[in-house]
Amino acid sequence: MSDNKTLGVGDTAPEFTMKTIGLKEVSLKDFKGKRVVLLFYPLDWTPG
Amino acid sequence: MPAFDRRAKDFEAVNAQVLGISTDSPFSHENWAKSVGISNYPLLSDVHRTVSKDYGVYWPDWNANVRATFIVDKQGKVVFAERYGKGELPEPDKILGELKKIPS
Repeated sequence: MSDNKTLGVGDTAPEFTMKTIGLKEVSLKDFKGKRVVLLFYPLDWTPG
Repeated sequence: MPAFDRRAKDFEAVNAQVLGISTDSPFSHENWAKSVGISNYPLLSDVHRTVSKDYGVYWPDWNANVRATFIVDKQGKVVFAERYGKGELPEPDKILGELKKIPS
């Protein structure tokens, strides 16, 4: 689970649960029936 | 990413949910979101770096993640993946264009 494999087109998106603002938990499966756009960005306070 | 926040309605209109992810805490996210004006999509905290590693975007130099965008379809499959170099940012229009190519 924790080696730095590459994930690409055709792979199953790994499930996750993370906390958001207000400490509410958000999981990928919460959005069943929708397409999900995951925007990974390096750190808060970096451009973009 | 304020550019995506401003276009949140366009993503809703094509049945897509935008999620921002970094390794910062929810407290850092809250301050940053207020500062740059992100209020229309959630910012998630990969504090354990497990999600970054699962998605192959972990950046050991900074114990953080690189910049990358994935589109996941309704079947839970990755249908688009893009990684960015220094100074490159995801383009909302490009991502919306990719979403139009796959079943909504």
